[in-house]
Amino acid sequence: MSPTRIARNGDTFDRALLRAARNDDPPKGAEERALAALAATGLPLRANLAPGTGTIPSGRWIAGIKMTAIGLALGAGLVTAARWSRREASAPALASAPAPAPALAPAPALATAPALATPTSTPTSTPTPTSTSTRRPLPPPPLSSEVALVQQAARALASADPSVALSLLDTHDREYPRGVLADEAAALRVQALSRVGRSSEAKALARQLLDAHPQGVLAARLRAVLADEDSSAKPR
Amino acid sequence: MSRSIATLGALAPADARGDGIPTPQELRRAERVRTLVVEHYASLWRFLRRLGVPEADAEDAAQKCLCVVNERLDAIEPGKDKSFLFGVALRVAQSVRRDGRPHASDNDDALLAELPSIEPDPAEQLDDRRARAVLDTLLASLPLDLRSVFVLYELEELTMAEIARALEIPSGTVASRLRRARETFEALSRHARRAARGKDGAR
Repeated sequence: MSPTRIARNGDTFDRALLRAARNDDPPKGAEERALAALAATGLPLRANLAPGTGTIPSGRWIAGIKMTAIGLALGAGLVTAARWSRREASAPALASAPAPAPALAPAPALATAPALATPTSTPTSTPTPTSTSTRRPLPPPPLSSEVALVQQAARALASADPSVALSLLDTHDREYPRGVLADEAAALRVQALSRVGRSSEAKALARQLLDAHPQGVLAARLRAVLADEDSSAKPR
Repeated sequence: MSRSIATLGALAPADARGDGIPTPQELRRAERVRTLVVEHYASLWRFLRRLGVPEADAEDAAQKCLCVVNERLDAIEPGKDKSFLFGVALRVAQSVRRDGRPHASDNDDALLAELPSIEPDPAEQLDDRRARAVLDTLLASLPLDLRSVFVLYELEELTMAEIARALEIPSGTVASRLRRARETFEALSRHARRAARGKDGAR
C-alpha cells in the first residue's frame, strides 16, 4: 500500500516546498541540446522527427527540438560517415543519405565554431519560450559548443581535410578535456591521423582506446581499422 | 576518457549497412531514446538537482545519463526505460557529488543553520527559488539512500515498483526507506520552522 504523497496530504509548508521543486525547470533549450547531442553522435533521430511520421512530440520545445535535431542529425550523418569513410573511400553513405546535402555548410573555419555552438540560442531560429520563473542567467552550457566542434572536425574529415580535423580535435581536447564527446573525438582523431599518414600514432591511439574500452561495436570497428592499417602498411 | 567506448558503438549503427540509411530497427531504437528524452528530461534534471548536483553541472550530468541509457538500451527490458534512467541518474549524481560538497547527515544543526530565511507562517508566500533552497537544505540532511527514494516518490511520483527497479532494491526496502525518509523530512521541516520562529521572535 503506497502512502499518500506529501504534495497531496502533507502540511501546507511541506506542500509549498515540494510544489516549488516541481516548478523547477531545466535551463532553456536543455532538452533540445540533449536530443541534438544524441543525434550528433549517430542516433538516427532525424527521421523520427520528420514531419508526417506521426511521432512528433508535443510540448513547448518541439519547434526547437525539430530544428536542432534535424540540423544536427544531418551533421551526425557526416560524423558517422566520416568515422569510417576510409574503409568506404567512395563515401556512399554521404551520397545516399536521405538528408539533403545542400543543407550542410562546407567545413567552416575554426573561428566560426561559436556560431554553430549555439544553434538554439539564435533569436531568429528558435522561438523563445516564456519563462515562469525569474531564473538568474547561467553561463551557456558547454555541451552544444562541444557538439558543434566535434561536428566540424567530422565535416573536415569527410571533406578530405584531415589536417583541419586534427586542428579542431586539438581545440576540442584543450577546451573539453572531460567532454561528453571525448570518445567520439578520439575516434575521429584515429582516423584523421591515419589520413595524414601518421599511422603509428593512429594505431597507438586506437590501441589505447581499445585497451581502455575493449567492448562495444565501435571497439570492433577500431580493431578493423587497426587491421586495415596493418594490412596496408605500404606507401600511400 | 569520459565515457565507455561502448557508447560509441551504440551510437554508430546508423551506417551499419554502409548505406547511411537507418534500418527500421535503428529507427525504433532512436524513437525509444527520443521518447525517453521528451517525456522525462525535466524530471531527470530535477532529480539530479534534488540529489545535490549543482545547477551548473545538472545539464551535463543529465546528458551523461542519457548517453549511458542509449548505450545500454538494448539490454533494458522494454517498458523499464524510465526506471533504468533514474537508476543511472543516481549513480551519476553520486559521482558528481564526490567532487562537490560532502554529505552532512551527521551535521544537521549546521545545515539547518544555513537555511535561507523563512517567514514563520504563510508558507505560500515563499517564492519558488527560496522554497527550493529550503527544500535542498532539508534534503541535504537525508542520507542519499533515503533522499533518492523520497525524491523519486514525493517529487517525481514514480511508483514503488518503479523505484525498486531503478534502485535495484526490494519493494519492502523501498517502503521502509520511504517511511524513514518521510519521518526525517517532516521532523527536519518542523525543526526548521521552529528555528525560523525563534529567529523572528528574537528580532
